[in-house]
Amino acid sequence: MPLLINVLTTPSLLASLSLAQWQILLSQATASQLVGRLDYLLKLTNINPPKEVEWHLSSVTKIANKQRQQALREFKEVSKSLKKIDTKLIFLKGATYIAKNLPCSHGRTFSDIDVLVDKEHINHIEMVLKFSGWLKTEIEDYNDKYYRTWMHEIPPLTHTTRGTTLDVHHNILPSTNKNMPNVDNFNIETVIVDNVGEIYTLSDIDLCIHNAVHLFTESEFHHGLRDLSDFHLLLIHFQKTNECFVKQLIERSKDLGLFDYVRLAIRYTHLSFNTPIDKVTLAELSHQSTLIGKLQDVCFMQIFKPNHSSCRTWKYPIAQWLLYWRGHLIRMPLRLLIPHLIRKTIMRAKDFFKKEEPDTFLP
Amino acid sequence: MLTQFNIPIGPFSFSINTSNTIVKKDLSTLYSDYQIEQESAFTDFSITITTRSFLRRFIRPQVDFLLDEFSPFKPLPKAQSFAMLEWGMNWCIATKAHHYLILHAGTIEKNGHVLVMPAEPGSGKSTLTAAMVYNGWRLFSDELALISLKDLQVYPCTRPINLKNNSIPIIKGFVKNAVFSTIAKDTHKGTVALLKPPTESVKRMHEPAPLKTFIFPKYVANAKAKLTPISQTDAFQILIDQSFNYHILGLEGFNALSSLLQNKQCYHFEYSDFDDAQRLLSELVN
Repeated sequence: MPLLINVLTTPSLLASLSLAQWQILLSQATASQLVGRLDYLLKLTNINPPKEVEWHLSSVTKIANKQRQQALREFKEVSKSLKKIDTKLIFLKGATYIAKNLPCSHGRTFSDIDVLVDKEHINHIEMVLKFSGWLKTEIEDYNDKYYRTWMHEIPPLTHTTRGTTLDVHHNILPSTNKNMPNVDNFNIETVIVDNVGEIYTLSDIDLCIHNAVHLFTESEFHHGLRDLSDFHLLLIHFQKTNECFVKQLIERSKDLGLFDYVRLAIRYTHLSFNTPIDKVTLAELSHQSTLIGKLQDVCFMQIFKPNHSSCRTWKYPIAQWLLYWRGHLIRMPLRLLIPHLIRKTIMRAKDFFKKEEPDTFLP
Repeated sequence: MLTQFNIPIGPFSFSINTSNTIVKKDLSTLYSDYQIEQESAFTDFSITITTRSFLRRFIRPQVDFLLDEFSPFKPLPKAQSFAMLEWGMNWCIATKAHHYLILHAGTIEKNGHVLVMPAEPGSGKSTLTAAMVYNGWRLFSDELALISLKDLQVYPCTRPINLKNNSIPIIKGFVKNAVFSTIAKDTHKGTVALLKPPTESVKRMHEPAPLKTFIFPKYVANAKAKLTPISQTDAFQILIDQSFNYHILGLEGFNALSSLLQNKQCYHFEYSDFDDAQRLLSELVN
């Protein structure tokens, strides 16, 4: 197993690393967006990193803390903006972890805030948000249409003065996915956040289901290991107060028709991080077909490694390719997928010949 | 062939890997006073300058900047390789080293006192810095003022000075035997060349010094050098605007800036003639 996964599984290992090992660990963690989590685990276990490494860790924690502040602010602002519309407003993913102050929220960096609203009011919501300063980022007409026709969210919005990015969803899966659930079936919970007041999130079990669905419908796994590590910390945390949590999670996912994603999440969290799951439950989580099960194991165990040369083998590009197609086929049927991918390829080819402008501010 | 340069720069250790001939030549020239090491125990920023796309080696050649294995920017034309490396190095520090309050500022020292000179791009801050450090001042940086959040001292980040357009011939005329990098034309900032830092400044790049004050420079054609006092609140606002990471540091950044501004008189600074400017700035640190 890669060093990063070993220390995430057994944080006490952090106490005995050489400087050379730290160098590799930091590279793996940077590639996986898990530097802040390392810093959190160090503090939790009272281990001091070498002085050369310390500022690399604390810098990411500072960024994470800043994002936490930003999320707290948006709880207030977005709720205020949408107050007059008769819609649910549920904060998802990273924002929920912060609202519920879950262990996986500490040191966690993220790029946008996700909310779930009513589909029937989505146009009205977008307009009201626009008047509150949330504007669509520059987007090609084709991509905009693709979002609105097929996806479970509208194109991302960025706030003109605060710079936050907001992803507005009306479901957790696109309508083209055969497992698209009825969002009204999700259990919603009220959370009281200090200095903000009441906001809405999914219940503990449903937020785990959402994490699993999100992760196992991806076709690219840039944050794969981070999200799997989130899932590990969520299970550990919720199992502390509820021994039957995993059992209930499985039952509930069956009710919602989302068991397959939850099955994969529990299986690979256990295989990667040794998350405590009893044998009977584990046996229930294997794929019906041994062959497909084996293939999934090979692919997912490759993809849930840090995307870094120190962890890559010849299997990695194959796994990446297979999972790319798996993700696309889950998202939509071939009759929609093929024209979409052809269109994307043409767009990319055009970009190649365009004179490129640097998109990042270089000091 | 891939060559590795391990370069300690102020508080950071960089490792630069490249087979790019422009970059190798410019690194060897401009960093000749640095203690380039064969191996380093720990590298803060491991950078590679290379061309990833096979096609881009031949069709309108481009280069990529990789930090570790990831490229934060789009590729740039190959002729801008070295400028891209230097910009990328700035980016590494400005977006990662949050144990410092980082200001977009020329930073120079004399008699143990540091002047931090924040300014908008195009106000002549790098040109002024270049002229001063070849005229009795020590170079800390022409772009990044590093203010430690632990001791509020200013730390040198001594690197080549980035000069643009007309500044290049002006500094060539003002600094005898100035050593420049390959000139990169048509960059997003116009024509760019990097000036080798003074040897003495490179030797002392691990010596921090306390801040004397902030001055906000502006080149004004034919103007006599002039310092105009500015209120602390106005100075505070400019410093926030010219900071790379104030928004990340939050309260820590606010406290640092407030302490730094205590009992300090900050100035707007107009100049056109370097000798004139040098005399006036020296009065501040005598």
